[in-house]
Amino acid sequence: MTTHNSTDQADADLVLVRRVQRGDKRAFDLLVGKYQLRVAKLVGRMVSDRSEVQDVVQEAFIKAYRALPNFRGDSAFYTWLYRIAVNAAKNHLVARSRRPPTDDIDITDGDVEEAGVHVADLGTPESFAARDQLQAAVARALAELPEDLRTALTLCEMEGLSYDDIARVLDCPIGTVRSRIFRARRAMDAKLKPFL
Amino acid sequence: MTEPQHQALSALLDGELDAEQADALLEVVARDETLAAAWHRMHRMRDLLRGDVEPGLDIREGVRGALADEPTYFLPAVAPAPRLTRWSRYAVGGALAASVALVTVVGLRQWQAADNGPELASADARSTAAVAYSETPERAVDRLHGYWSVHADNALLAGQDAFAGPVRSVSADAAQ
Repeated sequence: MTTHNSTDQADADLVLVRRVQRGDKRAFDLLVGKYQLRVAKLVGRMVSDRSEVQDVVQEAFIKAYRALPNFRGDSAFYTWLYRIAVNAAKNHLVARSRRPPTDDIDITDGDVEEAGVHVADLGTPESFAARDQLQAAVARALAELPEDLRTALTLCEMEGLSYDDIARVLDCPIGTVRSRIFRARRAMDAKLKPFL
Repeated sequence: MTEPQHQALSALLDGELDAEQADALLEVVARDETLAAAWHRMHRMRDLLRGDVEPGLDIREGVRGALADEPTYFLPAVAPAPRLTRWSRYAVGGALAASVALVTVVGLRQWQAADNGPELASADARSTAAVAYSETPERAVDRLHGYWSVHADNALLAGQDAFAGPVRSVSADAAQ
């Protein structure tokens, strides 16, 4: 089984990076949208104040944009971005005269997905309530999908399988997999749009 | 935004488009607010399905504002590395098999020619040598300049100085 979380995603990121390097600033916006939450999770492990986390994440993306002409693609974009984010968080703590964490956060291409910590878990009661409401809405929208769409989307999103492998698991053509995943996303989007 | 575009965007999210298809689609996304918003929502939904719930976190506007005065880059395009589809993998496999067959046939012929007598074998060898040394010094220099140009482009992208090429070119010129 192969997943679409490693090489293929890195390929897609590289296409976006090359577009930014060729003068398409909007492509960087797409990278920000893609990675902001994951970078925020990482920064949230080092900076506990929620309002400061957003500032540090924003600073990290700005630094990444400035450094982008020198990005050569030797490592995956997100690995490179996460290193910038860790440095931005450390600099932020030093500037605030707080001791940065002594433990180094080593990041490799494979393990950045595993950081299962929510951003600044010291949220307000309102933010907890909003989070619960959102989680319930997502679970409901997923449960209401027709079974064939739900299965395809689950194998793709939760299990991270490639379309090729999903086609083998479900014993259907790859075009059907692509169509089912798209229709599942469209149905979920219609229900969750107010929250997204 | 058309349905095929939306469906392609979904496939792009999953890394299921090759580099050329992705580039063409992103060209459209860059000009289409609706598609860009759909791309963003798809990522948010992915995060939510994976349990990463953080209501209200969206720094795109702030980053966009901060980058408004930043320079736009215009680095030379680098050809994307081709990603092999299922059909192109078959084609590559076929081409490899054909090459092996060709080498086998040519090798067999030369072995038979050598077996048939030294005159035929040396005639084959002369014709091979004539092909191998047919390049003129001018064309060789052109070729070196071509290599140098590609090397310089790659070095620029990598943020390094490209210094080896001119030395070789000058040497080749002097050799003439």
